[in-house]
Amino acid sequence: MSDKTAPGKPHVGSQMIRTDGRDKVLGLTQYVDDEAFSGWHGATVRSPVARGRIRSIRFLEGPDWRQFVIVDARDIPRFAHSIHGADASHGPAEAGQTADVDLNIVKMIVDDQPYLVRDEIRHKHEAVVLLAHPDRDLVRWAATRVHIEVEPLPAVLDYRQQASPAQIQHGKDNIFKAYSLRKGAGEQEDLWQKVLADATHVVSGVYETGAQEQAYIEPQGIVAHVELAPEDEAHGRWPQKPFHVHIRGSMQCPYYVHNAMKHLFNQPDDRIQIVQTATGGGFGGKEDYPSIIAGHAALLSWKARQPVKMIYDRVEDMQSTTKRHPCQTRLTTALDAQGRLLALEAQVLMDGGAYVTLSPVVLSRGTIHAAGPYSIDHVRIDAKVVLSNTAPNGAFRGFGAPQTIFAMERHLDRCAKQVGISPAEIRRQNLIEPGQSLATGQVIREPVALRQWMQQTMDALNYEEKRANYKAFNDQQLRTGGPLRRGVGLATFMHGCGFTGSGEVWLDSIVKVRVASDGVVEVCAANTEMGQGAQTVFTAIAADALGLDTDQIRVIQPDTDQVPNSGPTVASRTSMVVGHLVAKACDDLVRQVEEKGLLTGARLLPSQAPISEQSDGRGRRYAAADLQAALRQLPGLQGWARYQPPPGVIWDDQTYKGVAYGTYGWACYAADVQVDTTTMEVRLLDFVAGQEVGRVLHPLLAAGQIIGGVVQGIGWALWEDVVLDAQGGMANANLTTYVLPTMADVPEIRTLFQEQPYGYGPFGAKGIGELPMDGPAPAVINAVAMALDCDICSIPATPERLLELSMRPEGTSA
Amino acid sequence: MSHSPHSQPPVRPVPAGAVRIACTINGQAREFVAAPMRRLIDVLRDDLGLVGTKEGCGEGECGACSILLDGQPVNSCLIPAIQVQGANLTTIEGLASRDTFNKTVLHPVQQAFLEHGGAQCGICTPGMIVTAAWMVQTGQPAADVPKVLAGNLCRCTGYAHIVTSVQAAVEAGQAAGLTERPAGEA
Amino acid sequence: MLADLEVVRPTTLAQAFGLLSLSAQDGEPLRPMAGCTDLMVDAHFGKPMPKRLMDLSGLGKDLKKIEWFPGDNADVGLRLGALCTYAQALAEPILHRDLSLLAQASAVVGATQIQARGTFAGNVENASPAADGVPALMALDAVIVLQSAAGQRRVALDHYYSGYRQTVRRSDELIVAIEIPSQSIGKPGQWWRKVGTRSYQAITKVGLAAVLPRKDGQLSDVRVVAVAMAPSILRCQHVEQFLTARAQAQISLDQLRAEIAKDLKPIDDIRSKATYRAEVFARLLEQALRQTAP
Ligand SMILES: Cc1cc2nc3c(=O)[nH]c(=O)nc-3n(C[C@H](O)[C@H](O)[C@H](O)COP(=O)(O)OP(=O)(O)OC[C@H]3O[C@@H](n4cnc5c(N)ncnc54)[C@H](O)[C@@H]3O)c2cc1C
Ligand code: FES
Ligand code: FES
Repeated sequence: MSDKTAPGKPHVGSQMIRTDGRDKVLGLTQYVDDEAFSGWHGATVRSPVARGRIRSIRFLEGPDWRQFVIVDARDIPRFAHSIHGADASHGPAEAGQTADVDLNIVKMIVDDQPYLVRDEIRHKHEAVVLLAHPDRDLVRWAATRVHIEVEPLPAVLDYRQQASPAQIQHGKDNIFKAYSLRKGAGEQEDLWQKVLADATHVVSGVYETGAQEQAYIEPQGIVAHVELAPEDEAHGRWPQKPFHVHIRGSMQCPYYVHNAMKHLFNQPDDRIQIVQTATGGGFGGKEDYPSIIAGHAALLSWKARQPVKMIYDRVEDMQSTTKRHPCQTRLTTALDAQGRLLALEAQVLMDGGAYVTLSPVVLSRGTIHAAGPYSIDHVRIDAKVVLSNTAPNGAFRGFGAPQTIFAMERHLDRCAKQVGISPAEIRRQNLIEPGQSLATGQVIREPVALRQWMQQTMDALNYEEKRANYKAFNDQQLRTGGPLRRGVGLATFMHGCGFTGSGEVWLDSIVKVRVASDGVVEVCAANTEMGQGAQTVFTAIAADALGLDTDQIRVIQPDTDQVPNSGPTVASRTSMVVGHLVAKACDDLVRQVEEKGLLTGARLLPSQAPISEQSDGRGRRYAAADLQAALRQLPGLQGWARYQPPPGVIWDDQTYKGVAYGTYGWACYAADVQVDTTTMEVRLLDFVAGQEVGRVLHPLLAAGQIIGGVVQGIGWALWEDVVLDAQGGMANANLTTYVLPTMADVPEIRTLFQEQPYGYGPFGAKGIGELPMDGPAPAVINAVAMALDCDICSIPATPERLLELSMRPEGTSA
Repeated sequence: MSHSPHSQPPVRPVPAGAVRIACTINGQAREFVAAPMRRLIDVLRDDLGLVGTKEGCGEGECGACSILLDGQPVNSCLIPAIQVQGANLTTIEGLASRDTFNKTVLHPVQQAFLEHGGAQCGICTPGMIVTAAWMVQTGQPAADVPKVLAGNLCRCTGYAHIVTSVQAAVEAGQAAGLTERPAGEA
Repeated sequence: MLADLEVVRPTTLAQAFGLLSLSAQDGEPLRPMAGCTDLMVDAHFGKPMPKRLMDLSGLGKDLKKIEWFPGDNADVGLRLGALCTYAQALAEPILHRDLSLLAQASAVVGATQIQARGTFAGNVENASPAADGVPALMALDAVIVLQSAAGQRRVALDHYYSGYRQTVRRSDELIVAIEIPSQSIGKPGQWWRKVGTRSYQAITKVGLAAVLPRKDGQLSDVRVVAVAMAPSILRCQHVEQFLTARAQAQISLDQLRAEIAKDLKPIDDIRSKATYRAEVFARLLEQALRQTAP
């Protein structure tokens, strides 16, 4: 071992090899379906219609039904005495308090979704009956041999249409959640009218974005093992004595599943164990849905007295799991003669699907991002998310923001046209500057330089020159009957990092680090590696916070028995919020070593800049060898950190005013496209993604995140189309007809990073995960609109839709 | 429908029409008994424990299940067991080698993926790497990477780092003279 | 279920024909299996399957050849054995030189892995209205060679389909080869375009395979084959007639649209729209005519 008295080379900012990389390239990483398993396999029988009452369930001939374990809603107690209180979503019940509730409810935000249909089917492919059997192929086949007879009820199949009384299924009006946000004259009708009347231009438009499937390549899967008390082993009724529930599987948020299982089985925290196995992509799709599969597998396991594995095949996964919310946004803007935005009105309507799930939070982010990174004095936004009888829509990278950003960015290009200036110029006129305020009233204090950053993206794409050349090119093609058209497009946008408003305070995340018996420091957090590199980034942060080598750090597998609740792996919060806690927990660990006097003789190193406003990285003061030697003497020692909000993050949920996010990622994306007007196929020639995301912790991983998000965004803009059948079920639920981009469909996406360190992220980092989903669709569609000189207002802009649009008479829009 | 929780149904016996199949997998002679139409991916993963091969779709679309069959990349989800009678198979488990100290040495394509960020969540990675290894071996030009790997879907990376990984490996392979001449090219 | 299916695996053609005729007599015909890129998808997703199948992979020595056969006038045609795959054909320089239509079509069937397994014969027999190998072969006047214990017969590919996903093959017959006649090899005016859902791994939404030779400035002996425009892939009789003996200058897009409407009634489905198909097909044809004009 070399005696290290000089500080080692930092890992943050380096191209260190990802910690999970070697196993992944060798094919050794064990995903849930790869783990050794001896037990039974589960399958789900699903509803055939959009809405209705179950008349009967018939088990058709073929399978020997005596060999199967069968679970339906009747197996789950309806009026259990809950130990968690009637509505535990607002925190745990007081000691001793109990309440009567239906355990057949997936715990999320609102208690409306059952694990298994009890009374009324609310969407096609909703789970009705569960089967288990030792043979996987047999149980899947048997699931096709169950017939569910339904008395249909009036269903809502188009969220844009006003529901008739017979279609009302939620509250008085099928509205899951509504927000309104007002700024300046937005508060007062007469003032508002005056702003509009005084404007030189008033531009309106309706923009629509479609559903999108996350399409992680590893389908959802869970293994459950319920261990009953001996007294409950023998009978088939709901267990009376306390028991254990163990869940392993592909998921983003172990503690969400933990909370759900705790309620379903009415057990205290320590009887539920959730372990995240290697996860083959999530993108939001494994945020809430794994709770449902976990519940199903665990119910089967309880009844079968066996571990039960449920792995969805691709078709089932696409039919039954959540999608991105379809959204319609109506915008009206008032502008002055130069193209300054005076006022913006937005009406946002999202399709929540059959149950509330995460819709309120998705809508919230969509609302806050609707006005974009622009300084607009007068704003009015009304947003609502409504029920429809399709599979619930849920989390997908971007979480509501891509929808409203698409509308705003597309709208701006249309405004520019009306004002008679270029798309770049209208953005220059309106991009926010330090000291100005967003729609929420949040004053921007970071030293943003959006115009300059936009220019850098434009230069990288050679935007101005291409724009001029393409105009000439298109004219020439038109004159000579050539089929090709070219265009360039821009989008400028931002994405709030972390949970909205007081969300992070409410989450109250905790991270622990501990010294293992071999002296290695273990990072214990509930945040999951699903490809984005969380494990690598945590390793680098902990190593640099302590001044140790990465082989002295181990990030342990998220297991609720081992790791504290550091919150969900969503909302671009993992590196910034949880990574920050990792650094602070390391500080705490060192502080304790100091208190024990084990570092008094240690050699000191020159001091370094603090890691953040809240973390000094005190381990770095000591020679690594000395700190390591001290740690080795203290196996079991733990360091803790708990979330502390940055000062000034004050948010009012009622008025939608205040500081919605501690910080934002800022971006300008530019696309260069060619359209073959013979077929209306769009080909991307180039794409530049420029962003400011604070300090870049790992350049290669960061670029990988951005490029991955960009390609998902391009897919959403051009090809990915969720087609619904007459019952609201996904008609193209397979990878053949739901069209994901292949390697041959996208150019090499280029990335540019601006780095403005953020004081409340580790080493200055901000969140990065979702930002790249927001900009590609408007940038690409703006480019296509230029190429075709037409008004495209909805995506996906498939060749079929572009052809229809191009053949429409002048002046109508799609 | 209820049944006594303790009546253990028998695990389904090997089907009546099952056949004995002999083939070579990763250089080793293997024999197994399977229903003739059993999917090769199930044989590999469930019967032989070679779980490095992944299932992303079961319909030939995603390429996560790619393996080499007699030297050509194929989707193992579409191959019935009976068709590998006497065949030579390579899976992701068969690419790395061992040095004199019995330490695992990554295949050049695996090394390139590691260095250039070709793997993120890792679920598409085995199929990508197997197909890419074939590219390197058959000496196909680096410019063809997107075309040759278009049958391997990835949802994480946006492909750029996979392209650079494979191109690096292809170029390194050419430099090292590791490649065969592509079949059929004059 | 896959596990319930039985498979026989003959190793000689004689065995194969014997098995086929026996099973046909029993009224439970054997389903042949080649590359299984269509068949396994159907079987896995529970499409109805005959209980017994016949794997052809043991017949490689007879059926996997690409060879020349003597043509009408001392010249030679090209015979693709029934087990010939896209990848195998693409490795033949002749394909790129004289049968560009087939080369282009083969190169975008599925992607690498599908091209390694999929066969032309499987493509033909699968009878999908959106197939890519079939239109190229049809435009090249390919002939399907069917053989049974009773003997051989040849059916022109453009007479091979009798309805939606129906072929004239009897259940005791096997496709043993596909022949491309000598006149088609190196025939000028070959033009091909697939409009798929994406660049690879794409199902054709609309496609055109055409051979548009000119004689003294006029079109003659033309082939126009439409993909995904009708219940089966077919030659457009009216369009071909219309084009014959016409010069480029005498053809307008509107006329093409009108002629196409006589031959084809495309439909809306999950992948595309009737209006798109009809319009794009007309535009493709117009482009083909322009690009093949001398
Ligand atoms: C992911 C994917 C992508 C695809 N992309 C394309 C594409 O782009 N274009 C395209 O055209 N197709 C495509 N296909 C379909 C398929 O690959 C082709 O149709 C292929 O040519 C079928 O050949 P096969 O040998 O695999 O046929 P098999 O699946 O083995 O057989 C298909 C049918 O033909 C019958 N059959 C096979 N051989 C014979 C014979 N010698 N005599 C009599 N009957 C026979 C079988 O009984 C069966 O009914 C794709 C398939 C997949 C899974
Ligand atoms: S699992 Fe075989 S191609 Fe997707
Ligand atoms: S790395 Fe996740 S799918 Fe490719």
